[in-house]
Amino acid sequence: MGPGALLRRIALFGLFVLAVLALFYWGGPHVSQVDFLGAARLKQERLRRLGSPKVVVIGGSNAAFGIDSEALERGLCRPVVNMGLHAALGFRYMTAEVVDQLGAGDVVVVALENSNFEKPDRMEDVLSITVDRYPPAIGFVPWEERAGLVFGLALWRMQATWNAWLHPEPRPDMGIYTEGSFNERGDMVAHLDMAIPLERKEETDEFDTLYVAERFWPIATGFNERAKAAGAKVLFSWPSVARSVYRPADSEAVKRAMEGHGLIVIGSPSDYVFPDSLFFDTWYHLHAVGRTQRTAMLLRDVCLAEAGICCAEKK
Amino acid sequence: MLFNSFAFLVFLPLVFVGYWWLFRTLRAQNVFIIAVSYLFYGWWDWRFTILLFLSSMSDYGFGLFINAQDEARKRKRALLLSLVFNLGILAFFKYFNFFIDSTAELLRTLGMHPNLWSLRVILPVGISFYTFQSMSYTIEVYRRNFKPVRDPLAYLAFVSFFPHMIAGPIMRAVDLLPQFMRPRVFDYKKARDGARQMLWGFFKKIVIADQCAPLVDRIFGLDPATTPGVTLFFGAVFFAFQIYGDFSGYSDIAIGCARFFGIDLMRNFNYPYFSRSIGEFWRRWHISLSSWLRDFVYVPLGGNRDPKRRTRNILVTFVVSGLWHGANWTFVGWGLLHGLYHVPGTLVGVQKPQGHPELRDLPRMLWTFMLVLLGWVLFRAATVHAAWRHVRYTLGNALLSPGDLIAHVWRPEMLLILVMLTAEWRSRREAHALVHVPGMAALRWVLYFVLVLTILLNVDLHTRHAFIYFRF
Repeated sequence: MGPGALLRRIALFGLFVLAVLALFYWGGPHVSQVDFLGAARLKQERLRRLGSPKVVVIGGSNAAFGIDSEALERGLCRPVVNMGLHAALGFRYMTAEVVDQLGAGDVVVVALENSNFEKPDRMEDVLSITVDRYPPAIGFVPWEERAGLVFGLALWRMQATWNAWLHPEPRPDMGIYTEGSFNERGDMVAHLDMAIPLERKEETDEFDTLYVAERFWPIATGFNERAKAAGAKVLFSWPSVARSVYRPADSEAVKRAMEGHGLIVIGSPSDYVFPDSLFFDTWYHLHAVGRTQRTAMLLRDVCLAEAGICCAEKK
Repeated sequence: MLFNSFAFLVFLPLVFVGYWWLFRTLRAQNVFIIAVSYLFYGWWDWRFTILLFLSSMSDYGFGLFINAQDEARKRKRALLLSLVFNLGILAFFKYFNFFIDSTAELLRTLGMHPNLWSLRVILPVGISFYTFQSMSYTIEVYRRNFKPVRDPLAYLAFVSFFPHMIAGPIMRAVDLLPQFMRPRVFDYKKARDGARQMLWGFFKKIVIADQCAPLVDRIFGLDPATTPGVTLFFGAVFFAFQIYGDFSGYSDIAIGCARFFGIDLMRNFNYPYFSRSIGEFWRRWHISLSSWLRDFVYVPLGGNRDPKRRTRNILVTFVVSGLWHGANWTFVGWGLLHGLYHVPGTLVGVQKPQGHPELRDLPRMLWTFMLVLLGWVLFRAATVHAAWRHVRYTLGNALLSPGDLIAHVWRPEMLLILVMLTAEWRSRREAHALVHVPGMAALRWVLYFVLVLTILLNVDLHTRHAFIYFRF
């Protein structure tokens, strides 16, 4: 027997295994009971619904928790969609999910967490969970990574089935981390009425150092170019950060580097540093008071950079 | 590229198809092997393919040069040059910072305050494996055991052949190079056996090694002073099976994969935990390195010839073995410990165990395993001091606490280890655990499916577990 016979047998067996995996992919449970990342759907739906000109905010959860899109909308006289969800989705994903929806007059405000500079194209569990909750999100992943992502997700659903059968667990208390905690503009609002927790989630090495990976630049400049071609403008702003973890020298260096790459940077990173007492459960997640202050700051910076789009200027 | 990655799952069938259908001549197959092997290696960092290429071509050149010398003195000089070149590369990438750090540490203990600079040298994956393989070629040519090859493609294919390039087995030129100089013939039975060996290798890597890894990391991360001895003991046990599953799993995958392409690689593991003595353990563990060190370090040092120097030769060989694994005193200590285990037996002249192990040999197997376990603590610990504390508190802190003992034995990982040991015990006379599968086709395929399912259910999707030996 030749190599064809072996290949046929292994291929048939492989197809059978793939069929089993496919069953789990389509019929298996969600890989995580936490549905927070499912909010990608409502944000994407709003983004597609809005015509141009509009304001699109992208970033991680700092944007989701710390921006009042309604106030921004009032100040900029155009609809806002807050796409901020989770830093671990990566900057590459964040740009990919909005770039095709940009049109003439649109403004994109970018507010990235430190990890987005360091690992701009990371594809971690968070991305799998997002695709698990909102399958069209796979369209924002480079095509060469899609098969691996689907394969991994099928495996994960199979393992989730097995684990659920082996150790059935009650649905965990997800607190504010649910799909329903966002308003129609994409802002996280469920935490605004809650007391600030006494203990915050530990963010291990997120704030130790901040450096920009080489691969960040092609993503940032590429996005900038494509937005420009569509008639939109990209403004790089800053995440809200607690004073105790802020590293001024690192952030200023990143600012200079971004300007050096021809990106439009608005405001100063130090303007977005707030007292620790204004943060909710992490050093990125602002609570109500901080959110209001940060939004006012952002509005000021956008108006300074793009005077024409500011309502006050128009009047 | 990792064997346990989605990319490899796509890569292997494509290479198989290309090799047997698109590139059918010897030359074309060698070119194809080189291309895909460099792709496989460069998947991690393409820049190191340049190093691989330069290292390979220099030894190819040295082989021809050594052979062209008639005078013994010139031959020796040429060989020395090649060894200096190879060991120089290895020393730079692997030992440079170790040397600088150790010197600084030594000077500090002498009360000096050195200001030594160090480089952030990234260790190229598998450098120890392909350098040793390349070195064996020039040494064999020097010894006139092997005529140098004229065909650079065959030589490049020999060094870079992807299944074994990164973590062995470390093949001898005399065994592997001729296979790249003659047309390969597809042997269905061999390839099918290769597929089974790969399956078993994946089982050991993903189901045993990767499941033990988090437990080992957790236990070795604890403060031994406040940890029950039984926990520390099981930390070492789980590491023993992690490293075995990881490395022998890799070897099984490599050997099985090579068979798909009509290439035979040497056996690298022969159920080492069934050994009845330390000597036997080293004839069963990482066989390709042990035999390499025996032939190219121990024997040239004098080997057994001079009884007075035998002890020294053994210790030197084992220290070199430790250093080969990495630039850390823990590896040196590990090598030295195994050397010391060896010495009494050689002095007294203990008889080698004969035949295959049987159940009646269990006490000797357990005793050997305990000795090996002590070595693994040194191998795994971050420092020699940490290893010492691990051992000290293992014996000092409630080693026989029944509650903790049950908690560790009654774990799914332990059940999986037992499944592996049972399967391997049944096959201890064979090359791997799946040599004998049920005769009835349906049963055979059910067995394969159960194994694949077990592997898939145990794949750690959240942590990327590279093979431990990649770093050596």
